[in-house]
Amino acid sequence: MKACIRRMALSLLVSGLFVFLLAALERPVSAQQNKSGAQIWAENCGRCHNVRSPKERSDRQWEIIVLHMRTRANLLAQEAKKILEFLQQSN
Amino acid sequence: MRAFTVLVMLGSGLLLMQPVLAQAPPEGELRKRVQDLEGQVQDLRQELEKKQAPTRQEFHLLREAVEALKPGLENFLLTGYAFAEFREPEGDEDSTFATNFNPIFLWKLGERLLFEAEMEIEIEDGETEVGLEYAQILYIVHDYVTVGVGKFLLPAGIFPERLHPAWITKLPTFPLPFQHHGGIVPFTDVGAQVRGGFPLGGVAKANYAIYVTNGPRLLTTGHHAGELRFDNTPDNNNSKAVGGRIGLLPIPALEVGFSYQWAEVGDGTFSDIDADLIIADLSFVRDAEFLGGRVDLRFEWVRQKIDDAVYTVDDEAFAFDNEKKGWYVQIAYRPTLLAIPILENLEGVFRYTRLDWAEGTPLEEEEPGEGVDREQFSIGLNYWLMPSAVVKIAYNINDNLDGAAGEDNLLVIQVAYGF
Repeated sequence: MKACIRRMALSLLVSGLFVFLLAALERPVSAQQNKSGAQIWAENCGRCHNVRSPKERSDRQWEIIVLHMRTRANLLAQEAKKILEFLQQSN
Repeated sequence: MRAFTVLVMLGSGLLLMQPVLAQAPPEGELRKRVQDLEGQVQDLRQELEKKQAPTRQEFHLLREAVEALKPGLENFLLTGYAFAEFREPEGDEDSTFATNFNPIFLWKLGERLLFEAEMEIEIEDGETEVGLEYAQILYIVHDYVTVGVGKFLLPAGIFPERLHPAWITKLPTFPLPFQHHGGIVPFTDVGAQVRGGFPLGGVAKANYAIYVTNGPRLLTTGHHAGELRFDNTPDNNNSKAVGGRIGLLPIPALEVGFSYQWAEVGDGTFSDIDADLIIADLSFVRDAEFLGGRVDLRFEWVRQKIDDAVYTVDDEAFAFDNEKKGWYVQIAYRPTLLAIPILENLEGVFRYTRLDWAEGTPLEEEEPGEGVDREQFSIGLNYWLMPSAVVKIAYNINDNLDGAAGEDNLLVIQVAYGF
């Protein structure tokens, strides 16, 4: 039983690697600089946690949050700027 | 005579008032005039408010713009997370409720300067424990360079820095190598770091973090001799740990990372003992249309190696190959693209984790069932009330790989909220 579950775990890992290979074959839709703030927000913020509604915070609060998240997630400067603009326009 | 005089005076008064009384308008007309006046006053008030509204709004905007330029309480934000849970071990151990509250303080001191701190307030063994998870000041030197100093979450893999908060992590328990008790990866340390991200061309990018901290300290006595403790403040040996992580993102959905830390960990007769830590991590998170939802795949592999040494415990000498390894793989799926109420908020999670302990340690000798290789299978079901609020139900199956009885299997129900 345990060996079976270990095999299952390894299979999951292999499946994950397969998905990775599929993803690696994907052609980039556009270069980073052509992406909208909404797209950059969804890609980067959604990498760790569920994306939260822009309406949760005021403009000032998003400034503080985005600065905190920029340093935590090592966002590019341009990414952080576009994410902040999107959040402040959408709240 | 007097009465006659009063009567004459009253009569004269009435005669004199007659013209005045005869000129007063009727009551109905008076009422109408009052109503007209009230209507005019109301109209004037509304007109005045309309004229004042843009002025008031402009004033608020102007005030906000001025306030935004200076540091102060208004650039402060209280955020954080909390959770409450019920734990039901399968064996003789008692079931228990537990709770944690982790406020996070953020203070934007300027366009490039941020102070951040998190406290951890928990109830453990009937006592309220208050701890400082991290407190650091960060300065953005350049688009690709940020400097931080203080106590911070270590970039050791991705779990400590990004995935451990209760409203983010998919299961209520941590993978075995990353557990606070019995794990082999430090979560935080005090020191300084340089970090940032930079583009690689197209959609690819990379990130990095390099740090120097107090580092872990080696335990040389007792049943835990040969293990590292990560609460090394003040530094035990005037020697610092250095380490870092590099992450590559060839596409937005995928990140692979490599972390390394080296430190001199002993003191006294063990001052020449070094330790190093290696972590490889992989994350793949993507909405997959062919699956109808979001797939979240995580993998981390850890190796901790401490130089060989001889430890004397209860007059017995212990010498062993002091290497520990562990890993976990976790996959979660949520049908976010199906747009079916309730179902779209459900998330299934499966994790396998393993921790291989060094053989022949004092812990293994003195406390059977501990200090041995262990594995754990976890299956969970989450229901997301909101993007940052979740109810988790998970079941852990624990096994010691040497065949001895291990930790009890465990059912956990947790409610977590990020605010």
